[in-house]
Amino acid sequence: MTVTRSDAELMADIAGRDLAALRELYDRHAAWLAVRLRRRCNDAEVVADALQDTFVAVWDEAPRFRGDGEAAAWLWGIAVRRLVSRLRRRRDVAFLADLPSYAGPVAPAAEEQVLLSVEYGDLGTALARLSPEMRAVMQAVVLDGLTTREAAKVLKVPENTVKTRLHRAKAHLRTDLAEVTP
Amino acid sequence: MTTTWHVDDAALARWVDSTDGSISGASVEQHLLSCEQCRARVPAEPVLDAVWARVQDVVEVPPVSLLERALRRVGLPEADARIVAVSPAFRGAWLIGLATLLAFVTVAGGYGEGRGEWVFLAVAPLVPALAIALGYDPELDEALEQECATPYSRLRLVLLRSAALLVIAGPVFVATSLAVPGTIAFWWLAPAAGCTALVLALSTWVAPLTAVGGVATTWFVIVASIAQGGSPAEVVDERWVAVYATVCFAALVLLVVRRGRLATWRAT
Amino acid sequence: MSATVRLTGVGKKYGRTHTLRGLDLVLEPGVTGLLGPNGAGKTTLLRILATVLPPSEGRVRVLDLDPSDPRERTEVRRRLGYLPQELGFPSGFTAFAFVDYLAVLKEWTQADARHDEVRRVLGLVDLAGQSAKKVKALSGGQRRRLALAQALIGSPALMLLDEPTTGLDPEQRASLRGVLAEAARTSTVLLSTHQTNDVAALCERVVVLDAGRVCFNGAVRELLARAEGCVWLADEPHSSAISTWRTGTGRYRNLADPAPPGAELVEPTLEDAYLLLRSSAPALT
Repeated sequence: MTVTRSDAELMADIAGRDLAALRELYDRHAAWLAVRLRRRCNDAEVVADALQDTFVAVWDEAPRFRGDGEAAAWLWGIAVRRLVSRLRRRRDVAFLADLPSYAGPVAPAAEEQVLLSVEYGDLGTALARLSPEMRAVMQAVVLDGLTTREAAKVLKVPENTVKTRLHRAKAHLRTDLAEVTP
Repeated sequence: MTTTWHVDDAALARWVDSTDGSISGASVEQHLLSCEQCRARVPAEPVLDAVWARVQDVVEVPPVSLLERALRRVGLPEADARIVAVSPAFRGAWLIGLATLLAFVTVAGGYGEGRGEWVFLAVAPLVPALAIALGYDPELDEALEQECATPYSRLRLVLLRSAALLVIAGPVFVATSLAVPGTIAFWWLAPAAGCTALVLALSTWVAPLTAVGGVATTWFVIVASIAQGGSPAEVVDERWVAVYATVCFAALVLLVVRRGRLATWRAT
Repeated sequence: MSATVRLTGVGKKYGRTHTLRGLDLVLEPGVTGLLGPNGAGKTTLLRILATVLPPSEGRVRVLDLDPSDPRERTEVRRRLGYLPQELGFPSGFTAFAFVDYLAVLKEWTQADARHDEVRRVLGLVDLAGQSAKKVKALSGGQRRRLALAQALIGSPALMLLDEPTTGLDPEQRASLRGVLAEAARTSTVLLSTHQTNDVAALCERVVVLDAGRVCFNGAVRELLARAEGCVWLADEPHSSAISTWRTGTGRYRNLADPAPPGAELVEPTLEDAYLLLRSSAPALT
């Protein structure tokens, strides 16, 4: 059989207990999921465990996948939650909501400006101007899709603090964006 | 989604190595969610094969059942534990039918006065024998031919599966005994044991269900002849119980002696 | 190298009916085809070799062991792969669980090694991707391949296969031939079948049973040679042909021994040779 199955078709076949379909989905998505997970956690063992949990969860939850959605986003939603749950058992390993290299005042390189503006428009530039704490919250809640409660757990701050920072970050962004696009 | 723009190699490499910042990283990540081509360009790390092997183990290898684990813990070898644990898969559905039959004759025995007790005594002692015969009759268990061609002992297989089926049905037997009034409560288990052992022994000559047929016929004749001039309680009086016990013992000896011939196929 | 299987005067009686009688047979490594009409005793022969049934008479030696001795019989079973004609599957099992269960009975006690072996045999029959499916969710052909997979556990020295190719499509049949040919490099395979083309493709030797007796035992090409000069094309069906049919080109393909002089002879198939043998069977002793 040389017909390539779409992600949604694979998902339907996985729901029918087709292991070959799970393997195909794994080959398509495991690599980028692994990298994205590793950017959130620098412990290789925890990342490998979370990745394993992710695909086991896909096996169990495939029947609940809605065919019209983007499989990649659905997978990330599962993966980040599996990571959070693995981290709960490993208190010595932290969730990295923010990578330090650009936390400083250095302006992003030109090509990254392009990258930012294509995917996020002016939001990217605005994000860069946030404080590291606020950015971490934005990343965990808005970009990674965690709930404020989950974010509070992995960032090891009270949930209320997360809510406050999120609120403030959004206010900052609104002001920033209003300046750029009047 | 049709995207004409893609992450360039350098930016992707920095994202993979985590040497970019989280802001531009977030953009790459956002892009990857909707771009199949860029996702395919993320290099696969060697560790992914090991992770897949673990995923496969979890989803493919059936979980060891609680029962099997408990049996292993009390020291049963793996093969024995597995046979007992999977026994319900062999004729589990039939057991439900037999339990229903037993419940029916129990009701007859409990409320039908004299005649009902006769019906109960004629049918109930045959139920356990039928239950185990269903577990290893070649006609019904077509996997048996395979099982018999393995080095695993045939006698052990049949006895373990029979025991498992009887244990599963155990509560039904106890409930039956509690429901039936008078001396035949519990004592019906004596002829039941005799019939069961006899069926096992006879199936070293003929197919198990054929053996049940023979034993059932004999049993009906015995019950009918006692019924001519006696009360139901006489079927399980001391003399007869001694006979059942002797038959049971003799049948078990015969079974062990002839164990190599257990499970007989009908001519094809 | 000594023979894997040696039968001397083997018979099997059910009541008064003989399903096998006076069978002398030697099997050596490689694939041997077993042909014969329904009721010829093929299944009984396989069951006796698989130690599932004891013979009523005669001597059986399998892998230099005596299956009538309990200890040696167990040893035979350790080195045996058996695919019965009909195989039932316990309810609720997945493909993996089924093969795993039989591997447990075949004394694969070390779980990791066993799981690897189960994956290997499922891969051989092209079911690796279907291993987690319930058996009842598999198609007929897939179930047949699953049944075959368990016969391959542990690469047994003797493989007894009762109609392994029924219900398979041409691709699966071709891939199965590959698996069997590979297995036959080290094992003795007895392949009971109605498919003469499987025998022609795979076997060097063929045994034909009829009414419980061997009516042919020899090289496939030797059986084939018997039909040489007996198959021809003509514009009319032959009146006393063993088989005759109108081919796609509108001409008749006739089989009779011998062909009339001057006939337009064509290459016989193993099926022709088998039919020819069957038609002359009563004359054989």
